[in-house]
Amino acid sequence: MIPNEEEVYEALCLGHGKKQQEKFSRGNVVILGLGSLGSHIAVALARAGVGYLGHIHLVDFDGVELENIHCQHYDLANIGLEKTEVLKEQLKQINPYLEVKATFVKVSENNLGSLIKGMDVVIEAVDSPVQKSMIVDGFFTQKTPEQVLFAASGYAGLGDGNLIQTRMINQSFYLTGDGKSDFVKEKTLYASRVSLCAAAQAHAVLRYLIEKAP
Amino acid sequence: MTITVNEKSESLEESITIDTMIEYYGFDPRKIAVVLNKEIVIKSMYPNVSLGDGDIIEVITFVGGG
Repeated sequence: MIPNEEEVYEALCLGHGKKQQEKFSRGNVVILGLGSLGSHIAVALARAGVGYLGHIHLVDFDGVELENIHCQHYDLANIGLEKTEVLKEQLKQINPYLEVKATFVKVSENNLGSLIKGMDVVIEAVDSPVQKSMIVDGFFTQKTPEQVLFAASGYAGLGDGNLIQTRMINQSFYLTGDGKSDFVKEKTLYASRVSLCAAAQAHAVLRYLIEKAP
Repeated sequence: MTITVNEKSESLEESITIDTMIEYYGFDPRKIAVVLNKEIVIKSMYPNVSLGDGDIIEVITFVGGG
């Protein structure tokens, strides 16, 4: 039998500390892109219990493909299904008491404003550099003073994992990655290195929720 | 006047806009974010923001993943 909500929450408080858990639980987080980065980020945040009082919002427009399995948090049985729905189900398996919302849509200049509205934290986890640039631009055009963006650049290939770092560009913008490893040149992605980047991004979010979130 | 772009200093005879700076260095404006003295400059402001002596600019060029 699955433990009840109170038992799960108590276990999280024991694992993370009560004060920390209260802050994680209140987090409102949107993850833009559920590929190699976003799928791993979502799992890390769900394990932390983000979304008890706030919620985790999953956004993507792709289905799971065979070519995703080597580096994304999906299984062969998920092929052909929408990433949003598969990942939502995975998060519910980790913690059925979290509020998880899923939206099957491609992030664009037109819908970015509505996707980030009301969110404390916006996570950029898309694959295309043009779209990354668009999301950063749209975020800083439309953000409220309290909102913070966590983006990533440079995590392809088999380079040194220790080169992946998170930098605070300013109070509203954190950037994770090695800044250089381009998929177009490297032509490969490894679950191990991509998860390092995803974990670093997720960890920066948790630290932010503890230290600075309103 | 001197500006710093991605940690390299550049001497200029007169002030230039961010638009001009991007063209001069050959950055692809579709793939970048411009940080001027720690603040993000949004794309619509590139033609309007002039760089002055002592400005520190970081141009982040995003690379793809998956």
